[in-house]
Amino acid sequence: MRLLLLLGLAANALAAPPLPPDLAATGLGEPGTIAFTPRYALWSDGSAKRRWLRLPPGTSIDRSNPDAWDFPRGTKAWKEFSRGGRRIETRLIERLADGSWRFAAYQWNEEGTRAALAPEGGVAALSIPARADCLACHEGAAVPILGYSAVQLEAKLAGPALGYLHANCGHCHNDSGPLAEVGLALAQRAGAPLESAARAARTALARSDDLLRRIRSTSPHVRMPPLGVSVVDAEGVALVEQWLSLLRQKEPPQ
Amino acid sequence: MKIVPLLLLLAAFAAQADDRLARGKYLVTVAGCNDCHTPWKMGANGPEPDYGRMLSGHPQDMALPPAPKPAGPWVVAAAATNTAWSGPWGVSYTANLTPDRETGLGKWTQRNFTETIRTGRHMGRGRPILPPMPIPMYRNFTDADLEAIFAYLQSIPAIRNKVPEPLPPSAL
Repeated sequence: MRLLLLLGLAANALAAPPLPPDLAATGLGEPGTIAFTPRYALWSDGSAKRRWLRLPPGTSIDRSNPDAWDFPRGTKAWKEFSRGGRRIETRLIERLADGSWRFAAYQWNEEGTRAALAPEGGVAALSIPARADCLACHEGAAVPILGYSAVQLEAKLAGPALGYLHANCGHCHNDSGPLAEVGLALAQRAGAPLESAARAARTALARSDDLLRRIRSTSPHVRMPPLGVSVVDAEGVALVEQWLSLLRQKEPPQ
Repeated sequence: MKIVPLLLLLAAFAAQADDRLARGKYLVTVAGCNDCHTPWKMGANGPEPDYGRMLSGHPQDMALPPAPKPAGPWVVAAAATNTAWSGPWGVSYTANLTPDRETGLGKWTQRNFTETIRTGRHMGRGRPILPPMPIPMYRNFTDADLEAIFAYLQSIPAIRNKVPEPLPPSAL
Protein backbone atom coordinates (compact mmCIF):
# COMPACT_ATOMS: atom_id res chain seq x y z
CA MET A 1 0.00 0.00 0.00
CA ARG A 2 2.73 2.40 1.00
CA LEU A 3 4.57 1.64 -2.24
CA LEU A 4 1.42 2.35 -4.24
CA LEU A 5 0.99 5.61 -2.39
CA LEU A 6 4.58 6.59 -3.14
CA LEU A 7 4.18 5.66 -6.78
CA GLY A 8 1.01 7.71 -6.92
CA LEU A 9 2.79 10.70 -5.41
CA ALA A 10 5.68 10.33 -7.86
CA ALA A 11 3.25 10.17 -10.79
CA ASN A 12 1.54 13.28 -9.48
CA ALA A 13 4.83 15.11 -9.22
CA LEU A 14 5.52 14.21 -12.87
CA ALA A 15 2.05 15.17 -14.09
CA ALA A 16 2.25 18.38 -16.07
CA PRO A 17 0.52 21.45 -14.70
CA PRO A 18 -2.20 22.71 -17.03
CA LEU A 19 -1.18 25.10 -19.78
CA PRO A 20 -1.28 28.71 -18.52
CA PRO A 21 -4.28 30.59 -19.95
CA ASP A 22 -2.02 33.52 -20.76
CA LEU A 23 1.19 33.59 -22.82
CA ALA A 24 2.74 35.98 -20.30
CA ALA A 25 2.68 33.17 -17.72
CA THR A 26 4.58 30.67 -19.88
CA GLY A 27 8.00 32.07 -19.04
CA LEU A 28 8.68 33.83 -22.32
CA GLY A 29 11.15 36.65 -21.65
CA GLU A 30 12.28 35.38 -18.26
CA PRO A 31 16.04 35.45 -17.65
CA GLY A 32 17.74 32.88 -19.83
CA THR A 33 15.36 33.33 -22.78
CA ILE A 34 17.39 33.61 -25.98
CA ALA A 35 16.18 34.71 -29.39
CA PHE A 36 17.36 32.63 -32.35
CA THR A 37 16.94 32.46 -36.11
CA PRO A 38 17.33 29.20 -38.01
CA ARG A 39 19.39 29.42 -41.17
CA TYR A 40 16.66 27.82 -43.27
CA ALA A 41 13.13 29.01 -42.59
CA LEU A 42 9.84 27.20 -42.98
CA TRP A 43 7.60 29.10 -45.41
CA SER A 44 4.40 30.16 -43.64
CA ASP A 45 2.53 32.15 -46.29
CA GLY A 46 4.91 35.05 -45.80
CA SER A 47 4.27 35.50 -42.06
CA ALA A 48 7.05 37.28 -40.17
CA LYS A 49 8.33 35.04 -37.40
CA ARG A 50 10.37 35.47 -34.22
CA ARG A 51 11.65 32.58 -32.12
CA TRP A 52 12.93 32.08 -28.60
CA LEU A 53 14.30 29.22 -26.52
CA ARG A 54 14.62 28.85 -22.78
CA LEU A 55 16.35 26.05 -20.89
CA PRO A 56 15.78 25.60 -17.16
CA PRO A 57 18.52 27.41 -15.19
CA GLY A 58 21.69 25.36 -14.81
CA THR A 59 20.83 22.89 -17.60
CA SER A 60 22.23 22.45 -21.08
CA ILE A 61 21.46 20.61 -24.30
CA ASP A 62 23.17 17.24 -24.77
CA ARG A 63 24.59 17.66 -28.28
CA SER A 64 26.36 14.30 -28.50
CA ASN A 65 24.10 13.22 -31.37
CA PRO A 66 24.32 16.10 -33.87
CA ASP A 67 21.06 15.02 -35.50
CA ALA A 68 19.03 14.65 -32.34
CA TRP A 69 19.93 17.21 -29.73
CA ASP A 70 18.58 16.12 -26.38
CA PHE A 71 16.88 19.09 -24.75
CA PRO A 72 16.60 19.07 -20.93
CA ARG A 73 13.21 18.59 -19.37
CA GLY A 74 11.57 21.94 -18.84
CA THR A 75 12.87 23.33 -22.16
CA LYS A 76 10.47 25.74 -23.81
CA ALA A 77 10.53 27.16 -27.33
CA TRP A 78 8.26 29.84 -28.73
CA LYS A 79 7.51 31.06 -32.24
CA GLU A 80 5.57 34.25 -32.89
CA PHE A 81 3.69 34.77 -36.15
CA SER A 82 2.84 38.26 -37.48
CA ARG A 83 1.03 39.28 -40.62
CA GLY A 84 0.64 42.81 -41.92
CA GLY A 85 2.59 44.10 -38.94
CA ARG A 86 0.14 42.53 -36.48
CA ARG A 87 0.95 39.73 -34.08
CA ILE A 88 -1.42 36.82 -34.71
CA GLU A 89 -0.25 33.95 -32.53
CA THR A 90 2.65 32.63 -30.51
CA ARG A 91 3.20 28.89 -30.42
CA LEU A 92 4.80 27.02 -27.53
CA ILE A 93 6.63 23.69 -27.42
CA GLU A 94 7.50 22.41 -23.97
CA ARG A 95 9.39 19.35 -22.80
CA LEU A 96 7.67 17.97 -19.72
CA ALA A 97 9.14 16.31 -16.65
CA ASP A 98 8.36 12.83 -18.02
CA GLY A 99 10.33 13.54 -21.21
CA SER A 100 7.25 13.95 -23.43
CA TRP A 101 6.46 17.16 -25.33
CA ARG A 102 3.40 19.32 -25.44
CA PHE A 103 2.29 21.93 -27.91
CA ALA A 104 0.03 24.96 -27.65
CA ALA A 105 -0.84 28.17 -29.47
CA TYR A 106 -1.66 31.56 -27.94
CA GLN A 107 -3.83 33.95 -29.89
CA TRP A 108 -3.04 37.69 -29.69
CA ASN A 109 -5.86 40.17 -29.16
CA GLU A 110 -6.50 42.91 -31.75
CA GLU A 111 -4.45 45.43 -29.79
CA GLY A 112 -1.51 43.06 -29.54
CA THR A 113 -1.40 43.49 -25.77
CA ARG A 114 -2.30 40.01 -24.59
CA ALA A 115 -2.22 36.49 -25.98
CA ALA A 116 -4.63 33.90 -24.62
CA LEU A 117 -4.48 30.11 -24.97
CA ALA A 118 -6.16 29.24 -28.28
CA PRO A 119 -8.82 26.51 -28.31
CA GLU A 120 -7.54 22.95 -28.68
CA GLY A 121 -9.16 22.73 -32.12
CA GLY A 122 -7.30 25.83 -33.36
CA VAL A 123 -8.75 28.90 -35.08
CA ALA A 124 -9.17 28.10 -38.75
CA ALA A 125 -9.90 31.68 -39.82
CA LEU A 126 -6.46 32.78 -38.55
CA SER A 127 -4.63 29.58 -39.56
CA ILE A 128 -3.92 28.85 -35.89
CA PRO A 129 -3.38 25.08 -35.80
CA ALA A 130 -5.22 22.55 -33.69
CA ARG A 131 -2.99 20.99 -31.05
CA ALA A 132 -3.27 17.63 -32.84
CA ASP A 133 -1.99 19.32 -36.01
CA CYS A 134 1.20 20.35 -34.22
CA LEU A 135 2.11 16.68 -33.98
CA ALA A 136 1.76 16.17 -37.75
CA CYS A 137 5.00 18.10 -38.35
CA HIS A 138 6.76 18.12 -34.99
CA GLU A 139 6.50 14.41 -34.27
CA GLY A 140 7.76 13.35 -37.69
CA ALA A 141 11.33 14.37 -36.88
CA ALA A 142 13.86 12.98 -34.41
CA VAL A 143 13.36 15.98 -32.07
CA PRO A 144 10.18 18.09 -32.04
CA ILE A 145 12.10 21.40 -31.84
CA LEU A 146 12.83 21.81 -35.55
CA GLY A 147 14.49 25.22 -35.83
CA TYR A 148 17.12 24.83 -33.11
CA SER A 149 19.40 22.08 -34.35
CA ALA A 150 22.90 21.52 -35.67
CA VAL A 151 21.69 21.66 -39.29
CA GLN A 152 19.83 24.89 -38.63
CA LEU A 153 22.51 26.67 -36.60
CA GLU A 154 25.94 25.17 -37.29
CA ALA A 155 26.15 22.90 -40.32
CA LYS A 156 27.35 24.04 -43.71
CA LEU A 157 25.05 22.57 -46.32
CA ALA A 158 26.02 22.37 -49.98
CA GLY A 159 23.57 24.97 -51.25
CA PRO A 160 20.43 26.74 -50.08
CA ALA A 161 18.04 24.35 -51.87
CA LEU A 162 19.09 21.52 -49.55
CA GLY A 163 18.41 23.76 -46.57
CA TYR A 164 15.06 24.78 -48.03
CA LEU A 165 13.97 21.16 -48.51
CA HIS A 166 15.26 20.27 -45.05
CA ALA A 167 13.27 23.04 -43.38
CA ASN A 168 10.08 22.68 -45.41
CA CYS A 169 9.90 18.92 -46.09
CA GLY A 170 12.50 17.10 -43.99
CA HIS A 171 10.59 17.07 -40.71
CA CYS A 172 8.29 14.43 -42.27
CA HIS A 173 10.28 13.27 -45.29
CA ASN A 174 13.29 11.74 -43.58
CA ASP A 175 14.86 8.32 -43.18
CA SER A 176 14.06 7.73 -39.55
CA GLY A 177 10.51 8.92 -38.89
CA PRO A 178 7.09 7.39 -39.49
CA LEU A 179 7.16 8.27 -43.22
CA ALA A 180 10.52 6.58 -43.89
CA GLU A 181 8.78 4.02 -46.14
CA VAL A 182 7.62 6.80 -48.46
CA GLY A 183 11.28 6.89 -49.45
CA LEU A 184 11.65 10.64 -49.93
CA ALA A 185 14.64 11.48 -47.73
CA LEU A 186 14.93 15.26 -47.84
CA ALA A 187 16.21 15.89 -44.31
CA GLN A 188 19.85 16.88 -43.95
CA ARG A 189 22.12 15.40 -41.29
CA ALA A 190 24.77 17.43 -39.54
CA GLY A 191 26.45 14.15 -38.63
CA ALA A 192 26.64 12.94 -42.24
CA PRO A 193 26.13 16.00 -44.46
CA LEU A 194 27.62 14.60 -47.66
CA GLU A 195 25.64 11.41 -47.40
CA SER A 196 22.34 13.16 -46.66
CA ALA A 197 22.93 15.69 -49.46
CA ALA A 198 23.57 12.92 -51.98
CA ARG A 199 20.53 11.00 -50.79
CA ALA A 200 18.28 14.06 -51.05
CA ALA A 201 19.59 14.78 -54.54
CA ARG A 202 18.94 11.19 -55.62
CA THR A 203 15.41 10.96 -54.28
CA ALA A 204 14.45 14.48 -55.37
CA LEU A 205 15.70 13.83 -58.91
CA ALA A 206 13.92 10.50 -59.14
CA ARG A 207 10.65 12.12 -58.10
CA SER A 208 11.17 15.65 -59.33
CA ASP A 209 7.89 15.87 -61.28
CA ASP A 210 5.83 14.98 -58.25
CA LEU A 211 7.91 17.13 -55.92
CA LEU A 212 7.58 20.24 -58.11
CA ARG A 213 3.91 19.64 -58.82
CA ARG A 214 3.20 19.52 -55.11
CA ILE A 215 5.20 22.56 -54.01
CA ARG A 216 3.71 24.57 -56.91
CA SER A 217 0.11 23.48 -56.28
CA THR A 218 -2.53 25.61 -54.62
CA SER A 219 -4.94 22.67 -54.25
CA PRO A 220 -5.35 21.93 -50.54
CA HIS A 221 -5.58 18.23 -51.43
CA VAL A 222 -2.32 18.10 -53.37
CA ARG A 223 0.07 20.77 -52.16
CA MET A 224 3.02 20.21 -49.87
CA PRO A 225 3.61 20.95 -47.09
CA PRO A 226 0.03 20.02 -46.24
CA LEU A 227 -0.25 22.30 -43.22
CA GLY A 228 0.13 26.02 -42.64
CA VAL A 229 0.60 26.88 -46.31
CA SER A 230 -1.94 28.14 -48.81
CA VAL A 231 0.23 30.59 -50.78
CA VAL A 232 2.93 29.20 -53.06
CA ASP A 233 6.45 30.22 -52.00
CA ALA A 234 7.63 31.54 -55.37
CA GLU A 235 11.22 32.08 -54.22
CA GLY A 236 11.43 28.64 -52.65
CA VAL A 237 9.99 26.98 -55.75
CA ALA A 238 12.48 28.83 -57.96
CA LEU A 239 15.34 27.70 -55.71
CA VAL A 240 14.30 24.05 -55.95
CA GLU A 241 13.66 24.28 -59.72
CA GLN A 242 17.13 25.72 -60.27
CA TRP A 243 18.77 23.08 -58.10
CA LEU A 244 16.94 20.24 -59.86
CA SER A 245 17.88 21.53 -63.30
CA LEU A 246 21.54 21.75 -62.24
CA LEU A 247 21.35 18.19 -60.92
CA ARG A 248 19.82 17.01 -64.18
CA GLN A 249 22.67 18.57 -66.15
CA LYS A 250 25.19 16.81 -63.93
CA GLU A 251 23.45 13.46 -64.03
CA PRO A 252 21.56 13.09 -67.30
CA PRO A 253 18.84 10.44 -67.02
CA GLN A 254 19.96 6.99 -68.17
CA MET B 1 9.86 -32.89 -23.96
CA LYS B 2 10.91 -29.26 -24.23
CA ILE B 3 9.48 -29.02 -27.69
CA VAL B 4 5.91 -29.50 -26.48
CA PRO B 5 5.58 -26.20 -24.57
CA LEU B 6 7.18 -24.37 -27.50
CA LEU B 7 4.65 -25.88 -29.90
CA LEU B 8 1.84 -24.99 -27.55
CA LEU B 9 3.12 -21.44 -27.39
CA LEU B 10 3.32 -21.24 -31.19
CA ALA B 11 -0.18 -22.67 -31.49
CA ALA B 12 -1.42 -20.08 -29.01
CA PHE B 13 0.19 -17.29 -31.05
CA ALA B 14 -1.29 -18.66 -34.26
CA ALA B 15 -4.74 -18.85 -32.68
CA GLN B 16 -4.37 -15.29 -31.46
CA ALA B 17 -3.37 -14.12 -34.95
CA ASP B 18 -6.37 -15.96 -36.43
CA ASP B 19 -8.64 -14.30 -33.89
CA ARG B 20 -7.22 -10.93 -34.82
CA LEU B 21 -7.76 -11.47 -38.55
CA ALA B 22 -11.32 -12.66 -37.91
CA ARG B 23 -11.97 -9.63 -35.74
CA GLY B 24 -10.48 -7.37 -38.42
CA LYS B 25 -12.66 -8.92 -41.12
CA TYR B 26 -15.70 -8.52 -38.92
CA LEU B 27 -14.93 -4.84 -38.23
CA VAL B 28 -14.20 -4.08 -41.90
CA THR B 29 -17.52 -5.71 -42.79
CA VAL B 30 -19.79 -4.02 -40.27
CA ALA B 31 -18.02 -0.64 -40.40
CA GLY B 32 -19.06 -0.52 -44.05
CA CYS B 33 -15.59 -0.22 -45.62
CA ASN B 34 -16.84 -2.07 -48.72
CA ASP B 35 -19.63 0.47 -49.15
CA CYS B 36 -17.17 2.92 -50.67
CA HIS B 37 -13.77 1.26 -51.01
CA THR B 38 -15.09 -1.64 -53.13
CA PRO B 39 -16.47 -0.45 -56.47
CA TRP B 40 -20.15 -1.30 -56.93
CA LYS B 41 -21.56 -2.90 -60.05
CA MET B 42 -25.04 -3.71 -61.27
CA GLY B 43 -25.85 -7.33 -60.43
CA ALA B 44 -28.85 -9.52 -61.13
CA ASN B 45 -30.58 -8.15 -58.06
CA GLY B 46 -29.44 -4.55 -58.31
CA PRO B 47 -26.28 -2.75 -57.22
CA GLU B 48 -23.73 -4.79 -55.25
CA PRO B 49 -20.05 -4.56 -54.32
CA ASP B 50 -17.77 -6.03 -56.97
CA TYR B 51 -15.76 -8.36 -54.73
CA GLY B 52 -13.41 -9.16 -57.60
CA ARG B 53 -12.06 -5.67 -56.88
CA MET B 54 -12.50 -5.85 -53.14
CA LEU B 55 -11.35 -2.72 -51.28
CA SER B 56 -9.23 -1.54 -54.21
CA GLY B 57 -10.83 1.93 -54.28
CA HIS B 58 -11.95 4.07 -57.17
CA PRO B 59 -11.03 2.31 -60.44
CA GLN B 60 -8.11 4.12 -62.09
CA ASP B 61 -9.42 3.62 -65.62
CA MET B 62 -12.94 4.85 -64.97
CA ALA B 63 -13.56 8.06 -66.90
CA LEU B 64 -16.06 10.41 -65.32
CA PRO B 65 -17.68 13.58 -66.66
CA PRO B 66 -17.14 16.70 -64.52
CA ALA B 67 -18.88 16.50 -61.14
CA PRO B 68 -22.02 18.58 -60.61
CA LYS B 69 -21.63 21.83 -58.67
CA PRO B 70 -23.20 21.51 -55.22
CA ALA B 71 -26.36 23.60 -55.07
CA GLY B 72 -28.99 24.22 -52.43
CA PRO B 73 -29.72 21.63 -49.82
CA TRP B 74 -28.50 18.85 -52.19
CA VAL B 75 -24.77 19.14 -51.73
CA VAL B 76 -23.32 15.69 -52.33
CA ALA B 77 -23.23 13.51 -55.45
CA ALA B 78 -21.78 10.02 -55.83
CA ALA B 79 -20.78 7.98 -58.86
CA ALA B 80 -22.62 4.70 -59.44
CA THR B 81 -19.55 2.81 -58.21
CA ASN B 82 -19.83 4.64 -54.86
CA THR B 83 -16.10 5.33 -55.19
CA ALA B 84 -16.16 8.97 -56.38
CA TRP B 85 -17.86 11.69 -54.40
CA SER B 86 -18.33 15.37 -55.01
CA GLY B 87 -19.36 18.03 -52.54
CA PRO B 88 -18.22 21.35 -51.09
CA TRP B 89 -14.73 19.83 -50.49
CA GLY B 90 -14.21 19.09 -54.20
CA VAL B 91 -14.09 15.55 -55.54
CA SER B 92 -12.79 12.65 -53.46
CA TYR B 93 -11.97 9.17 -54.67
CA THR B 94 -11.91 6.24 -52.27
CA ALA B 95 -8.49 4.83 -51.53
CA ASN B 96 -7.01 1.46 -52.43
CA LEU B 97 -6.87 -0.39 -49.10
CA THR B 98 -5.33 -3.57 -50.49
CA PRO B 99 -1.68 -4.39 -49.70
CA ASP B 100 -0.35 -3.44 -53.14
CA ARG B 101 3.02 -1.79 -52.44
CA GLU B 102 2.82 0.93 -55.05
CA THR B 103 -0.87 1.83 -55.15
CA GLY B 104 -2.31 0.49 -51.90
CA LEU B 105 -1.33 0.22 -48.25
CA GLY B 106 1.54 -2.25 -48.85
CA LYS B 107 4.21 0.11 -47.54
CA TRP B 108 2.16 1.42 -44.66
CA THR B 109 3.01 0.62 -41.08
CA GLN B 110 0.52 0.06 -38.30
CA ARG B 111 1.50 3.50 -37.01
CA ASN B 112 0.73 5.12 -40.38
CA PHE B 113 -2.70 3.48 -40.41
CA THR B 114 -3.60 4.22 -36.80
CA GLU B 115 -2.47 7.85 -37.09
CA THR B 116 -4.45 8.29 -40.32
CA ILE B 117 -7.67 7.27 -38.60
CA ARG B 118 -6.88 9.21 -35.42
CA THR B 119 -5.82 12.47 -37.08
CA GLY B 120 -7.87 12.42 -40.28
CA ARG B 121 -4.69 13.10 -42.23
CA HIS B 122 -3.11 10.89 -44.88
CA MET B 123 -0.50 8.76 -43.03
CA GLY B 124 -1.17 10.92 -39.99
CA ARG B 125 0.74 13.87 -41.44
CA GLY B 126 -0.33 14.66 -45.01
CA ARG B 127 -3.45 16.04 -46.66
CA PRO B 128 -6.81 15.79 -44.89
CA ILE B 129 -8.87 12.65 -45.46
CA LEU B 130 -11.99 13.94 -47.20
CA PRO B 131 -15.70 13.20 -46.84
CA PRO B 132 -17.54 10.90 -46.91
CA MET B 133 -14.89 8.99 -44.92
CA PRO B 134 -16.39 8.98 -41.41
CA ILE B 135 -13.19 9.95 -39.58
CA PRO B 136 -15.05 11.67 -36.70
CA MET B 137 -16.67 8.30 -35.92
CA TYR B 138 -13.80 5.99 -36.80
CA ARG B 139 -11.28 7.88 -34.70
CA ASN B 140 -13.07 6.31 -31.73
CA PHE B 141 -11.90 2.82 -32.66
CA THR B 142 -9.65 1.34 -29.98
CA ASP B 143 -5.99 0.68 -30.77
CA ALA B 144 -6.73 -3.06 -30.70
CA ASP B 145 -9.54 -2.62 -33.25
CA LEU B 146 -7.31 -0.58 -35.56
CA GLU B 147 -4.62 -3.25 -35.26
CA ALA B 148 -7.13 -5.96 -36.18
CA ILE B 149 -8.46 -3.94 -39.12
CA PHE B 150 -4.96 -3.22 -40.44
CA ALA B 151 -3.88 -6.85 -40.03
CA TYR B 152 -6.90 -7.97 -42.03
CA LEU B 153 -6.38 -5.34 -44.75
CA GLN B 154 -2.78 -6.49 -45.11
CA SER B 155 -3.98 -10.09 -45.57
CA ILE B 156 -6.39 -9.58 -48.48
CA PRO B 157 -5.35 -9.94 -52.15
CA ALA B 158 -3.25 -7.01 -53.40
CA ILE B 159 -4.82 -5.23 -56.36
CA ARG B 160 -2.84 -2.76 -58.43
CA ASN B 161 -5.06 0.27 -58.88
CA LYS B 162 -3.74 3.83 -58.74
CA VAL B 163 -6.58 5.97 -57.44
CA PRO B 164 -6.60 9.54 -58.80
CA GLU B 165 -5.80 12.48 -56.55
CA PRO B 166 -8.73 14.40 -55.08
CA LEU B 167 -9.81 17.59 -56.83
CA PRO B 168 -10.10 20.94 -55.05
CA PRO B 169 -13.45 22.78 -54.71
CA SER B 170 -12.34 25.11 -57.50
CA ALA B 171 -12.49 22.17 -59.93
CA LEU B 172 -16.29 21.96 -59.59
